[in-house]
Parts: sequence; structure tokens; C-alpha cells
Amino acid sequence: MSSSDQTEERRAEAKREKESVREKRKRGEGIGWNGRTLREQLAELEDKTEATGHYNGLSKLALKEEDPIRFEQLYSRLRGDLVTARETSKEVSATPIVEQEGELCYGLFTPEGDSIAVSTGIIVHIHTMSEAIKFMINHDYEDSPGIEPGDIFVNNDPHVGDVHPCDLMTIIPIFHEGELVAWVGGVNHVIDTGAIGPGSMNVSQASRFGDGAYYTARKIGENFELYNSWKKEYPAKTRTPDFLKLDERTRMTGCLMIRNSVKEMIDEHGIETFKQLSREAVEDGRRGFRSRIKRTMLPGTYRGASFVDALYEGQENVTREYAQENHIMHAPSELHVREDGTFQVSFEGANKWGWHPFNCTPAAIQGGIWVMLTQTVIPNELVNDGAYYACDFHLPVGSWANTQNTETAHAYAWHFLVSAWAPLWQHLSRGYFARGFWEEINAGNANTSNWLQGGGIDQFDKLHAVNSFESACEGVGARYVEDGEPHASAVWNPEGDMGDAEAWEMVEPLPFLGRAVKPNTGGVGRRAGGAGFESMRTVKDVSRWLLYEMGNGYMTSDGGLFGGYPAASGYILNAKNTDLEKRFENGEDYPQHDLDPESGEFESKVDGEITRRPEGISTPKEFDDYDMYLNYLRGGSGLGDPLERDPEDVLSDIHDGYVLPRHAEDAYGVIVEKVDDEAQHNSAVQGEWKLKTKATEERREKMFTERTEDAQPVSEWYDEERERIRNEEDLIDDVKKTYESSMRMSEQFADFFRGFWDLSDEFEFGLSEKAQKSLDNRFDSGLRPMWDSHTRGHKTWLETRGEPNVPYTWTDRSIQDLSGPESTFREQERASNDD
Amino acid sequence: MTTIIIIKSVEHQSSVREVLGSVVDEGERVHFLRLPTVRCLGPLIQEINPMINYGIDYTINCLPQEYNVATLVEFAVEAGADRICISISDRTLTGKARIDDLTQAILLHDEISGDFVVGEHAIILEELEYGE
Repeated sequence: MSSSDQTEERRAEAKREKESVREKRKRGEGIGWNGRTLREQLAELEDKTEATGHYNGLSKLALKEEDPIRFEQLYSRLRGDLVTARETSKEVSATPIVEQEGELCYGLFTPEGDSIAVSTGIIVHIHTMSEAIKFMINHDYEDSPGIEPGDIFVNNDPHVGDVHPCDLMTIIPIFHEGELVAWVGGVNHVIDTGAIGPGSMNVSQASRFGDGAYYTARKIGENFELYNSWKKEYPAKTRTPDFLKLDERTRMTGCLMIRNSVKEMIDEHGIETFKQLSREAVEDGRRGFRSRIKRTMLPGTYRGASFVDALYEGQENVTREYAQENHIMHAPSELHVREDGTFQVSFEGANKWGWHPFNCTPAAIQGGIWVMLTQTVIPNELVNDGAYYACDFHLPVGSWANTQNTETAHAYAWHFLVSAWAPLWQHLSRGYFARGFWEEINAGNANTSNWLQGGGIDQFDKLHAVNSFESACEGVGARYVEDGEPHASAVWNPEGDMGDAEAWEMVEPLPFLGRAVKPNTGGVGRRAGGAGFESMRTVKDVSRWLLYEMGNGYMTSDGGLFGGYPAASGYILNAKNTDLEKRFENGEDYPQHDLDPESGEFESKVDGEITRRPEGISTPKEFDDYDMYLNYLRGGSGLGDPLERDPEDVLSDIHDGYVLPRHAEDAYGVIVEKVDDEAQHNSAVQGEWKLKTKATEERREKMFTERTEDAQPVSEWYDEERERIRNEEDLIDDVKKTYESSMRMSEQFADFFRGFWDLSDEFEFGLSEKAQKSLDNRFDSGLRPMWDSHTRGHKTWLETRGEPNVPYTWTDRSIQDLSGPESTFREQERASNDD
Repeated sequence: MTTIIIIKSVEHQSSVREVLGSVVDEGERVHFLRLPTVRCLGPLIQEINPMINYGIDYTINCLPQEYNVATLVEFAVEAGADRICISISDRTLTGKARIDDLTQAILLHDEISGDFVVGEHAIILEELEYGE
């Protein structure tokens, strides 16, 4: 059948289906199941789920129990069709972001917006699409603009359901005989959103009005055809219209493939079977999550904190002067695992949102944590929104994690989001350790950067933007039983990699001068964190071209685990007005790497204005031909005492390019000597090295002795720190502002902080006039929520009064919600399929 | 016991609460039946949460635009309803419940009979019996 025939058939099908819908309307019925409206169906579902503890009150999985093989076959078929749709449709896209990295995913959803099955890819957006569907339902889209067969919707509004606006989602309903039986949605990361600076995640804006175009859960087509108004509008709002058009075709292709699959399944097995499968899959996913938690964790409260920096003092091109201040994200993190296996994540004490693009919405946090949990807790269970129903989140309103203010910017919400989930890895790992699930333990995979972005007039004399997704390939955290994988993946897109250099060069006027494993970037430990890598790029055939960096700078969010060290922090290396062209012409040496930033090697191979600074974020700055830019992709954190690492492994690390020889001694107490200058290993490191066993033993012995001598009782350390805080000694304004903000946000946190450090009840940090003004300004801004009517599940997002009671352990330092310190899952019925 | 609650407006939360709280027992079956004057019961269900707050099992149904009392009685027969509850939507100047046309039509219908109880916010027809 030709494509035009297929189009005609789809139109005819849409027309037939619309007739059925209109007949139902005449009878006063909605488009939901059994004549209900979607909003009625969603309200009933939430009511029954909470009342019974089972998804939609489903206490018995009839389809699964009666014929488990058939259940698995049907579910696997859905899952397989979603994966096939992704693999096929990603070839439609022209961006390496999608085609190389697979920054694309699909989800199949119930009529109420809960994911049934997911594809591979950037599956964080499975849950964000879920929120977008619920937004449409709860804001009565069924009445206006109407939800009909063949309709097409788009969304990229983080306050509705997205992490940041560069993730565009296409959502279409699937109807059968006048009923909406499911939704299918697809998301991909686009190159440019038309923000105030080029690239998909600009960083120089103070508010959302610089983030780029927001499309708020909007109908953009019917009869499976896009409206002309939409086809004319959105390409003009981006610097890369052709890429976005193909991205949209990609998403449409996948959605239509999945829709066809669902229709085929209904034709073969009947609508009632499909409906039952939809419900049971979500309930099965919920039970799977609970069972897994009961099997692998201990009930109780797990606590931690994480931070990340975003420094804007002195940055150029920031859209508002008042935004030129430094920010530190503070995420006090608590995981409450209750005796029934329920699971609550709380960020009580998180500091206030800021005039920067790293703020998050609840959809972003929940989607982000959902993807992290699916990759870690339930890799062997059904992955869908069942996991969402097994968890609850406390995200303080007005904090960076839940701004409830449509003025806040979100272009790179990931910066705070991934940093904030760092403690969650540790919470889970501590539970796994306690239960003996050592193979599951992971030191963490937090800040995934750098993000190379920019744009201008490219090598084809066209307005263009770039957004390198080499960052889909970072070093990952060490596991208890083995080292972290070097330059391997990013948890938000587990199948991604660094992409072919040639593919990036086709769409970026930034030729690669070198690409190599970057030493000393993985955290040291008994098990080393995976090393990151770096790409040295130059610029060629451009005009008015901008580039910028984005990532963690002074701080690294993962702290390391069980004595392991964090991954290396970030830095910026650029060179402008270089003599690179002459060096090329003369066949002279030029920098291909910056493997040892302290060696001076880079500086010795190029003349120019070299910038090297220990920060992670820069705002867009102009680059010209033969300027240079280092794209440094971070490593993962380490686990365990580095002095317990097998010295032979450290020697291998040197030859593999993961550790510099001098660093082997400093960090691991391993002494090596070079025995051959010429030998080459599979890395940029030259030379053969040999382990000096006796010297290593002596060095380690000495380091143990030094540790003992340097150690001090916690009580002494506490006294010293307390005096430091009371007297505000050696505390920079940025740190004081961060804690002051958290104390203003949360009385509970303030009580804890003052109590812990034995400070007066009135204790406040003395802030500079600028810092005080900044806090006052943001605290006085009030709320501007996006949801007019919230679902039951969104109450924790939106209600400022009568906030649900959240167990908070910091003040009384007890384990809330448990019957006692000896409580155990064993007091409950054992985890089973009926949990 | 099975109860039908006829809903003319999503504003009629108080009558629904009264019926669920004082008339219907936990575990009983309730049919929320919306008239064409109501497009969607979603906001009402979200506000009341009948299963969480009252422990009842329920369905949501609707009557078509051209419905008449016979359609309603037919629904009641099919559901095997023991009670029909209607919100008091109009009152006299002294505050007494005014019987609206629909309630009157049910009361006068040949095929249905039962006891008539007036609550604070709702009219309840209970102990229903149906003709041949």
C-alpha cells in the first residue's frame, strides 16, 4: 500500500471513529470507558486506587493468574512493538541527538494517562507524558478543544509535564468504537527551542521568558494531519527548523506504528482483553516495585544531602542584572521505606528557586526519579507507572524542586535534578548492603555533563544551533563488586553512547582534534568510578558563532560511597585567537587532549588567549575559526577505601588511561616506575609501567599511619565546626545564603539545623546586602501555579495549606512511621504477587 | 443494597455527602447517574472520593439528552436499585424542599413505588418496588 493510500485509509478510519464518538456524545456519554468522561474515569481511578491500595481497586490479576504465559506474551508484544517503533522511527530524524544517541522514547498509556509499557531510550519522559495527559484530562480538554480520533497534541511545558522545554512530546489518542482506549506518546530532545541563546538548554536567562517556546498541552492537528497553523508556527520559533520538522515526523511515525500495533492486538484478542491487560500491567508493575523493595531493602529512614554549584557572578550576557549571583542547590534527601514496602522521597529543606534555568517542576523530579528507580530497583519487573503508584514524593512548594511559579526558568532543570538524586543511590545502596544484595550496590551516577552548546552561522552559511550529546556517555559509579564502567552511559538514556565523531561533525562546525579517555575523572576507591572522556574541538567556517559550557564546576554531587571518593569536578578550557591554522599549514604539533590539566602540555602546543578555570557553567560567548573548546564528560564516583584497591588494578588503570602515574601514589598509595617510553596501550597514555610492590606496601603503611595521626574524635570536630558556624568564620556568602534560604523555606529544617549545631532559636546567618535582597525578592514573589484543578495525585504538588503530613526525622532523630527500631517487613505478610 | 444518586449539577456536593454519609452503608453499591445538565462528574468525584471517604463501590452513568422518567425507571430496574436519591434543588421561601418535576414524575410513575424521605439536602425514595 502506498503512503498516500495509507494516509487516505487513516483519514477514513478517523472519520468512521469520529462518527462513533459523536453518537456517544448524543447519548450524553463521554469518550472514556462505559460512557464516562475521561475526567470521571481518572477521578474514579484515583479514588479506588487510594482506597484499596491496588491500582483501580484491582485486587486480583485475573488475566495473569488464569494464563500467565498469555499475559507475558501479550505484554511482551506491546513492549516489543514500542521498541520496534523507536528503532524504526529514529532513522527518520536527522539529528545525531536522536539518530546516534537515541534521545527518543515512546510510551503507551491508559485513558487516565498511566503508562502501560515503554520503549527503550530517554524513558524519563514516560512519566512526564503521563502528567501531560492528566493535565489535559483534568482541564477538560474533552470539552475544549475536544479529544477525537485522529487528533494530535504537543507539549513541552515543564509545569504541565516535562523536564525542560527542549523535550518535545507528541501525544495521540487511540480510539476503538467510540471509546478512548489508550494514548500513545513520543518524546525527543530537539536541537534548539528558540531560547534567548542558541542550543536546546540555554543558560543565560533569568526567567522562563528566555527559555524558548513553550507549547502547553496543545492540539496541533486532527485526522492525523497537522494543522497548517502549527506547521507554519513552530519552525519559525527555532534556529533549526528542518531538524525540528524531521523530529516531529519521527515522533508521528513511532506513534502511528504503535497505534497500529494496539489496533491489531484489539482485533486479534478483543477489546476487553486489551483493557484488562492495561489495568493488570500497571498493577503488576506496582506490586513488582513493592515486592522488590521488601526483598532488597530494610524499613526505615535513609538520609543524605547533595549540592551543586551554578556560578553567575561576573558572567556575561545574563538577561537580568539581578541574576548575576552564585547559586548552590541544596537537596536534603530522605527516603522513607515503610513496613508495607511503600516508598517516600522527601526533599524537605530544599532551598528556594532562583533566577536561573535549573529550577525543576514536580513532573521533572518525579520523571527523573522514576527513570532512576526503573533502572535500578525494578530492572526485572514490568516497567510502567506502577512504580509511580508505589512511591510518593514530598517536594516543598516554592523550592527549586517545585517552584509552582510559571515565571521560573527550566531550560536545564537536569543540572539540579540529577544532582539531587545523588543521595538516592546511596539510600538504596545502604539498604542493599544491609540485606546482602551487594551486586546491586552502586556509588551513584549524578551530574552528567559537560553540555557543549551554541550556534550562529554554520559551515553551510545557515543559521544553526548545536547541542552535543556526547554527554550520553559518562563514567558511571562504582559497584560494590566491580569498578564503574568508563565512558559508558547516562542513566537518563541508558542505551546512549558518545556517537560517531563524523556524525557530530556533519551537523556541527566543530571538527574533532582528539577524543580520549580522561584520566583521574573517576572517583577513587576500592572499586573505582568509571572514567569520563574528553573531546578537543576547534571551530571552522563560522560567523557570529557562540559556544558555552554547562555542568558542575567546583562541586561534584556524588559523594562516593563507603569511603570511596567523588568523581572529579568540572573545569572550563577554551583557547581563542589561536595559531592553530598556522600549525596545521606547517605540519606542527597541536593540542589534541588535555589529559593532565596541570602538566602545561596544552599550553605548550598552542599560542592564543587560553582560559582555564575551575567552573562548570559559562554563558554564550563568541568563538571564531580555529578557536578551541574542551568538551569534558565526567566520571562516576568511587566505592570503598582506595588503599584497599588491588595495586595490580591500579597499574591497569594507568595503562588504560584512567589514572595518571603520579595520582596513583597520591590517591592509592601505589608506586610505579616507567620501564619503557615507547610502549602503547589502548589509551592516550604512553609508556610501560611496572608496579613497585615493596615501595607500595611501605607507602600504604605510611598513609595508614598518617590517617591515624590526623584523625580526631568526632566530638572535637563537632566543637570546632560549631564555633565556625556560630562565628561565621570562613563561610562564603554563597554558602550562608544557601542555608539561610533552606531555613526560611522550612521550619523543620531550621529547627534541625539550629538544634544540631546547638545554636540559639533566633540564629540566622548574616548575609551581604545583595544576598539578602536576592532572598527577599524571591520569597516575596509568591506562587503562580499552572494547574487550576489538580488530581488527587497532585495534591502534594500544589497545596500550600494542609500539606500532607510528611514524616520528618531530622528534628527528633527518630524513625517515623515505624512501630519501633526493630520493625521489619517480616511482621507483615511476606512479599508476594498479591502484596 | 443498591442506590442511585441522580445528579443535576456538580454543585450538589452536600446532597451527595448526605446520602453517602447518612443513607448508604459502607460496602453498598452506588450508581452516580448524571443528567444531561451535567457534562462531567469528575470534579465532584475528586472532591468527595466516595470509596476513600465512604467505603462504597460505585459506577458513573449518564442519561441521554432526550431522556424521560421511563428511561430513568428502566435504569433503576436494570440496576436493581433499592433507593433513588435526588438533590433538593429548589426550596420555598420558608426553606421547605420543593419537589421538582423529575421527582414528581418518579413519584407518579406507575411502575415504581416506595417510601419518601426528605433529608436536609436530598430527597430519598427508598424501599423501592417495581411493577410488572
